[in-house]
Amino acid sequence: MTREIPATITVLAVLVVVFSRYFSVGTALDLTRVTDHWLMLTYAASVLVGVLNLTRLHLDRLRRGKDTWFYDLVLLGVMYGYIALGLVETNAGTTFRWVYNAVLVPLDSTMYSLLAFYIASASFRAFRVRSFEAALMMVAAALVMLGSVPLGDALSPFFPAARAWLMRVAQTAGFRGIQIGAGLGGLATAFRIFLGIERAHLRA
Amino acid sequence: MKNRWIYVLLVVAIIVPLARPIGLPVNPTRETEDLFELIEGLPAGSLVYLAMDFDAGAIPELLPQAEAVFAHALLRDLKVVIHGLSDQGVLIARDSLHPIAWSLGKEYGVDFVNLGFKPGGGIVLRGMTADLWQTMGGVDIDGTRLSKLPMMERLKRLDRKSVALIVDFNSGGSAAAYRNYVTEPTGIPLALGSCAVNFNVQMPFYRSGQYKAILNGLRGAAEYERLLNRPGKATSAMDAQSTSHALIIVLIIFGNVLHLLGGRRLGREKR
Amino acid sequence: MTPSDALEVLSNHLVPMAMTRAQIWVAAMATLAIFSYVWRENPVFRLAEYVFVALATANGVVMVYDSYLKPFFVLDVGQQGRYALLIPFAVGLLIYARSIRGLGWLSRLPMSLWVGYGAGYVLAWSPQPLFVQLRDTFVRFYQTYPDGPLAGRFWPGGTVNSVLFFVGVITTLMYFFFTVERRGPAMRWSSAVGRWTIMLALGAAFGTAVQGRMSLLIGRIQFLLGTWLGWLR
Repeated sequence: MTREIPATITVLAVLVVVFSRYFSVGTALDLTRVTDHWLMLTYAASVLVGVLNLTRLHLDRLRRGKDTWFYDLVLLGVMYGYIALGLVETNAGTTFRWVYNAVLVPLDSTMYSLLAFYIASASFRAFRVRSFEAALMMVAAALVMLGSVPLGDALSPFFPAARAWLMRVAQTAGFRGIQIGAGLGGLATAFRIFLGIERAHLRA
Repeated sequence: MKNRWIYVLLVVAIIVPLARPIGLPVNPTRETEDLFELIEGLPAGSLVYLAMDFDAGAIPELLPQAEAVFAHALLRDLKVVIHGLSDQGVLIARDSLHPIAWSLGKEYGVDFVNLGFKPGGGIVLRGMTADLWQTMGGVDIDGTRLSKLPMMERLKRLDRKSVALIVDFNSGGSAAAYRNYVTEPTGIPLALGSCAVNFNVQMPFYRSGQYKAILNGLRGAAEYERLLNRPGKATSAMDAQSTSHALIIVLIIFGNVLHLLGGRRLGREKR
Repeated sequence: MTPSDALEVLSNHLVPMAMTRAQIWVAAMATLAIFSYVWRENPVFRLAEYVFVALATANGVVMVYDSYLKPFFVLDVGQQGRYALLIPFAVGLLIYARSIRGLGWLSRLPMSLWVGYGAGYVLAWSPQPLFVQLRDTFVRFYQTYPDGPLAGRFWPGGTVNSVLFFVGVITTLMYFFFTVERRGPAMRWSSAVGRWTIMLALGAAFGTAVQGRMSLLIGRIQFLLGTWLGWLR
């Protein structure tokens, strides 16, 4: 029971979508028009999963008396506080937007910009030309870097032209190959789910 | 050489050109020109759909693109509808795109609408091709009924007849969702505003015509500003972009030279 | 305000909305807190990290509630009385059964629905774009000048590129797919060419990765020096 019902639901769900797409009766019935709406509602209902997971994790750490208690309290306080604020004054509220723009925006964008430092350090330490392949890679990287900034344009028309060739021919060929492979892989996985071979989701 | 020295060099390489700009010209590439020409070619009143599918982390790259394209569309008297598969993109749009529209004398609900965010990814997009109003829950970002926004009368679903162009400003997988679920089945042209990191992965679809144009990160935004003949914040960053790239190339070469000279210890040092 | 004035405004603001002085100060502190990680892992960075996770999660909840759940309950259920829609909503709620002892298996119902529906979407909608990719690899070998005085005439450069492109795609696929032993010069060469193509692609990807990361860092430095300290024009 506890496995058969979910497994059946999986197969039925696949069938509904595939039927509505590939069979003329299915297209006419337009089942997914209704089921898409249902699925959106199930997603919306699951909105608290992240909040509850974080709550459990950090309450657990608080109970075990870890030395991170201050941060755990801050996380829970800020999270529930911001949710409460949003529910009271909606996302259009003055304070909600104030916090969003003054705190979340800078934190989020600075977090990603940190990688610039590590990429610089890695360029110096890790980018070694040990083989012909590595040399190809380095030349491509250097040409793209120079070709995609005004400095490259100013130095010589060769750089933007080389970048354009690499981007539109060589690297597009490589990524086209990789993506065709990934696309076929995705289809194979979907088939495995349909046939019940892939059932990791039933173990949760 | 300690990592900290590399970090200092990087910061200096960025600050100096910001403080003392040289103003090297930014030459537009074909990928950017294609979007500009697409928008130039649309008859006034056509509806352009801007997808704000990114979080605050991508603001430095994608917001300048979105601002330039949004301003261009409104200046050409096109109608714009904004939507997001990311919970943050539509908030960013409300605070930075709406003011541009007002400064151009445009009216909310008549010239532009922000539909807000809906959870569900690709399913939301499929839903919009069938019945946009129902998929949106009948309201815009601020909870205003769609029936009260005159512009929405002509947008009951995403199809070729109602939408002239979709531009997806994305930092991840949403471009594939738009391609698979919306533009391939309906035939609406799709253009991308892409983070530089994803530009490569998206190029194969530009070649095949599945994406009509791609803006390449901040550089793409700077090119668009150039085409609009109005240098803005993306353009002002381009000199720093040049120097930082030059620094990386110097670091790669320098690292290899030192390595060849026997400085193998270098790689082991901790931060 | 004329259109060109408006674009002037557009050019001059470096932050996503007209922020107040207090907001700019808070944002600057938040930025510096994250940057402090470059020096070393420290309590200020950690605090910023926890606040970031808390706010990002909370924002998602508020947005889903405001833009979907509230109108659903008020308009669909409340005003129009579409009570049947509460059934799929209830199915979604079963995901929370995960942590209830004895009823944990119920959370597999929405999960299996999502996984199955997602797989169905892949089977239904991804083959068509994939075929476009495949077809595009094989066509357009014979290229003509797209514009200019020679428009329509045979274009040697474009034709060579089309052939190189085709060879690149096929050898890349061979490099990944052919698990048979690479014997004979033909196999060895094709897999070598595939490897070179992939190396060029990865090198280009490194180049754009540098480009993207630098743009983000420049954005933050522009904020600190320009918006916060007012040192930039």
